[in-house]
Amino acid sequence: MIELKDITVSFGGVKPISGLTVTMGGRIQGLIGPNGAGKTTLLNVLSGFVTPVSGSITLFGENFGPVRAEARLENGITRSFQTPQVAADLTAADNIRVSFDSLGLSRADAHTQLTEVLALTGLTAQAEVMAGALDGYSLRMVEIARCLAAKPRLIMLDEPAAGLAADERARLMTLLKRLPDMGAQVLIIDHDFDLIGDLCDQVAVLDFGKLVASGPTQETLANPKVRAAYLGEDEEDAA
Amino acid sequence: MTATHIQDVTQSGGPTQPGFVKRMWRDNAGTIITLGLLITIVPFLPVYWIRVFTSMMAVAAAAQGVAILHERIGHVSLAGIGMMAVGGWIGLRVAHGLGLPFEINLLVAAIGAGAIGALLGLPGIRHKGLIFALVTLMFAAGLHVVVSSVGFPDGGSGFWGRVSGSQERAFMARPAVAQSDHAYFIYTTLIVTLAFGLTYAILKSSAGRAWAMIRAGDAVAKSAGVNMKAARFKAFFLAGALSGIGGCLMAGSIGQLDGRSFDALQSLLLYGLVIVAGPWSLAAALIAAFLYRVFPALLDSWGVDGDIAMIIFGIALIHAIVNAPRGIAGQLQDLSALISSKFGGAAR
Repeated sequence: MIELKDITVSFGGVKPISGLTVTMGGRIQGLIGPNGAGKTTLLNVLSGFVTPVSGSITLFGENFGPVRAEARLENGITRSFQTPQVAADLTAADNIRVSFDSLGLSRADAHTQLTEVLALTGLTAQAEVMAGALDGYSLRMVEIARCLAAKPRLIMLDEPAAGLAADERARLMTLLKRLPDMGAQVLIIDHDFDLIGDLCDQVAVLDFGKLVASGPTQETLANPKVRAAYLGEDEEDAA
Repeated sequence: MTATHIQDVTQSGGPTQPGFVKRMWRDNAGTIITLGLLITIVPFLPVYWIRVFTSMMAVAAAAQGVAILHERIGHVSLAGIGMMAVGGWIGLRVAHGLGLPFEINLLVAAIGAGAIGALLGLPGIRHKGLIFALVTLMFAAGLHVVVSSVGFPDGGSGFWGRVSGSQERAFMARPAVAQSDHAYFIYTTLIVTLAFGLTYAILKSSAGRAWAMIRAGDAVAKSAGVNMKAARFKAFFLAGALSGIGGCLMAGSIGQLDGRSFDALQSLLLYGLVIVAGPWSLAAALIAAFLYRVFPALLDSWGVDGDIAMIIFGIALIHAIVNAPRGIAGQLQDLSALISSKFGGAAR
């Protein structure tokens, strides 16, 4: 459960997010908005990379404002990046082991959990392949596996389906749909209306750093204000 | 706060990782073979060349430290040779002051230089790039002033351990098992090999994985829960310790050290040569040390002024930056792969 109250982010004179108050409680929660809406900035706020000038961040009932970015993983808050970010000179397995290192898991526990996470993400056969030699889909999976290795409460994915082929996208969606049953809330940022519509039970829509609408996915996506802000449709026509 | 656990996903089997020795061979076959060849061939060379190669091995340890800082955590250290002076000073001081076995001196020098390296790295926790490079260069320059004016310990009393008056300067004793030049070369090479092995083990440990994430980007490292300060601190300590080992081995080779050998420009040169060599590879340290110590001596022996090496190094650095970002080590690896594929193709 993500609760943001009166969040304002300022970069010099620019405010990509201004007075944002929103609660995002979907099992698979979508976050959409046109370019420049403040989606990635919000993700960076939730990750601890960006400190808002005002407002409060409550995750699962706990105040995360003062929690350092490095400490979020051990608190079950994980994320992926728009472009997959992995250590190219480590194997896929070693990229995932970093999470176990951070959590201080024993070698035996780490091995057991690594086996599980590799199987879950379909990376078992590529475990010892250098990440620099993996294809785009596998890199996405390595990132997601690194998140899953932390047994997350919240896994935030920034455009996880970008650049994937249709079959890869289908496999990704199958995996993501399983995550809430494993105890993780999923927050997906994407431009893809179809993906959000298929995956998310709740969606929040941002535009110019402000909340346009939030609620059940189909209802929200049909909202005239959302269609006007996101698809450029005339608000009255959309209504 | 505790994370809600993801329910178990029952799967049989697990990822099979090759054993450490197998991985070490796979990743460093060229380096291991080179070290083996050096140990086999160099002891049969004239004493002058044995000493040159002994010095090269000592510099290789320091070069490894420079390579780690550059390649693993993205910091430019221009104090590689300066940190050797630190290790040499500590080794000499402990040897003359306490008369301990050489191996203990070596260990103390490594730990002492590691600690000073970690302290020197403190600005590097917040500052990268030019600022940190300047900090290290100024440290090396300051150190050079100190060791040039005060000198290295040579059996005297007090903190500086300098002899005075007509008292004769003492030499640092070599290890009991390596009194001769050729035995000391083998000893030095084995110690450096051990240091490289330890470095490789660290690179494959949680510390090495943390460094790899830092190299991928601060944001990704933080999101993976990497303790950035601790990870960088470990890298600075390791780099300092490696230079300390190099400095102590150098002191053992000659018995005394001369402050004039630790000019800050030498640290700058070593950094440039590490880039030319290809710091991603453990072999880079050997290549850089060869260029630093053996190549100028070869030019001298051929009647060419050894200082010409500086011009060649400058051209090589430009070439490495523009055309060969993986350095000489990368080019050797590509050549090896080409030969392997040719022979493999012929075999088929």
